[in-house]
Amino acid sequence: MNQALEDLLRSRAGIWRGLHSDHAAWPVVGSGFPELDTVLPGGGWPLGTLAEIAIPAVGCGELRLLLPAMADLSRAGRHIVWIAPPYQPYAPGLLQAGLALPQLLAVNVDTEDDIPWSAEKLLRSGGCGMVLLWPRRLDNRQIRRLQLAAETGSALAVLFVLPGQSYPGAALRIGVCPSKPGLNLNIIKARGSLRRSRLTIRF
Amino acid sequence: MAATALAHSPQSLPPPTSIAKAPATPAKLWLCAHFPALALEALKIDTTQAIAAIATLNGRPGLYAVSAAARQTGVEPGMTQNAAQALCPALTLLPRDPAAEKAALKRLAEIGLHFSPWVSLDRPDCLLLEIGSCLTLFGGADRFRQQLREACLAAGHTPAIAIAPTAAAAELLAGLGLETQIAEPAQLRSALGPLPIAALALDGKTLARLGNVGIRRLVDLWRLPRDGLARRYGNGLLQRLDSLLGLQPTALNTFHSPPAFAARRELPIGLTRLEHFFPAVAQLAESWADFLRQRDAMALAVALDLHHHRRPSTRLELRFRHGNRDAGHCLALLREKLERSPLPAPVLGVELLCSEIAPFQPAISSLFAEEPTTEANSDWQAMLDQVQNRLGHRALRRFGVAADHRPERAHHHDTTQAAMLTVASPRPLWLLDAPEPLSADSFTLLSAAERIESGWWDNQALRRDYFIGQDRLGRKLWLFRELSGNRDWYLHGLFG
Repeated sequence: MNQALEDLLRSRAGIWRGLHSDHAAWPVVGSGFPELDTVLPGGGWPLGTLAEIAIPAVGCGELRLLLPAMADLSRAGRHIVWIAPPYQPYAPGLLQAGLALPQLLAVNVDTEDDIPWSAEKLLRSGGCGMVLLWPRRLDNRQIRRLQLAAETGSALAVLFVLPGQSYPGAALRIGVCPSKPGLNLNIIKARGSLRRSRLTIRF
Repeated sequence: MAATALAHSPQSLPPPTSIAKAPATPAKLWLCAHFPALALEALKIDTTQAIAAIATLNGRPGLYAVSAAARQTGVEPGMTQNAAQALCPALTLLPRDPAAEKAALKRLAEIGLHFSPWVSLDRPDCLLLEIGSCLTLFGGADRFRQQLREACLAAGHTPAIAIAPTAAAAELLAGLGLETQIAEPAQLRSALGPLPIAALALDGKTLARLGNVGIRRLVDLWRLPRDGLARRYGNGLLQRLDSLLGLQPTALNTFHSPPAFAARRELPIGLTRLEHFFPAVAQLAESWADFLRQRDAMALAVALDLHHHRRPSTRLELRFRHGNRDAGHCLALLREKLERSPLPAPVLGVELLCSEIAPFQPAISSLFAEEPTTEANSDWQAMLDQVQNRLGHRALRRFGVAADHRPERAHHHDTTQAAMLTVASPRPLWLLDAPEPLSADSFTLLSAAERIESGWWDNQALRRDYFIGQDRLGRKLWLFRELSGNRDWYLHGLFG
């Protein structure tokens, strides 16, 4: 496509460009895996959105997928919050991964209702870089509120969902599955791209 | 000390009624209330039973204080636990709680402030009150003593009260359990003379040397020439004697009760809606903030009482993560709390109480503006306050590492102490609260063993071989095999 046409298309706001959308629209944080960055629209995890990571069971590599981004965000002075984690996050392991421990915060809740409430508060505050959630159920209205809060605070909200759950409101949906060299990723949906892609990353 | 006090016969002291008429200008008169059983009373248990408080004495655990019932069976302070339990099998042993003792003494000092403006907590287990200036208000020393005793007994503490013209003499008498009154400084020598020198709280060496030359009582010391006494036994002994007689001035700190805020507003009618009665709360919060600003203080916690008609009032408690004196922040938290708590009845009055007050610490800003602005940080802190007040004070967890090889102790939630990571081998991202037993055929090993054998010094010893493994789902596991016992496999962490 020649440059004149490109400029003309760019100058009009109302034109949807399908696969060639302009990724400068939202800030991203590099995932730390080059093969994943090339597939994700914008070249990294999109900040200000809600991402859903479908896992077969807790602990199959989903945290290691996010670790490089978490380390970058925490060293940049943004908080990483774990809401209702299924086990205790272990500080020595997190420190070895290069995270700045003072920026980490775990929130333990008593009731299920407190999970979206505290997630929304923390996302909206603007101090968080990433909020990790392990919800058991969320309705569409709560998903929408979380999405808006993530946009307000320019943070990445990550929902870890087990088989049988799905939240269609998420802007990014990735299925993960452990494999011999690392992790198989199945990018089901990514805002700004129509491609569904499968790839394998190595740890 | 108790034994020496018993050996000495109190009959040789002037009888308690021998106090002379108060002089025209009130001279200094000190009252000392000594609480011999404070360590036991502070534990808030029935002190008529055979109980004893344990503390570390000379580097090993021993009995610190013993109740009267236990004393009758022959148990004495300073004994080891085993010896005491052999003498009295029914003895209840409890660890001493110095913080509770301190709090109890503070409560007693508050009571003391009802009697005298000058209350000192400088001496251990004692209240010292200057009463010369206020004796006439109570109608004499006997009545004063009686009223103070009743107030202390009502608070659950038994005092031994002595009155003397110097604080040191009053303390000495009360410490020996001698409830005497000495009115005139001139009577001090004759009244204190028969007391044993062991009561002076000198070091054991000096005491033994004095005993060797036949000095048993204070009067023996006063008979000796001062210069010789100072040369042989040091200036400390002389100063102690002088402070008893009031020749050496002693400065005592006065106790001030910490400030507390309480303000109440009555509402004209019973209100049920938050927006109707919240303005009254806002007014209270403004005066609370003023109160704190005037004292250059900040509050650590506040409580809001909602009063109802013929019903117990509803109490809402707020605790700040850092001290606070911002009315707006406090109101936002109160509103959040009020919105979530149902009202049992219409509200007739609101009352704001605040007793946990600390000196104000201003925000420290960096000289170089590289760090995130303090405003953004204070917003973050305010938001965390909000989250914590809804979820409870244990809901927010920080992360920290500790220098310990035992995996369970290598992390903690207290970020005030910083430590370096001591291990180089990989650690998991999740740690299970308690290791889960694992059958040996459900995983494959991916690494060689890492032996952790540590903790023999605090009875939490562990001997384990840690491995990295993989289960059938493909998850990376952190597992260990016990080296002692039946060598079982356990899952301890996940690499996430």
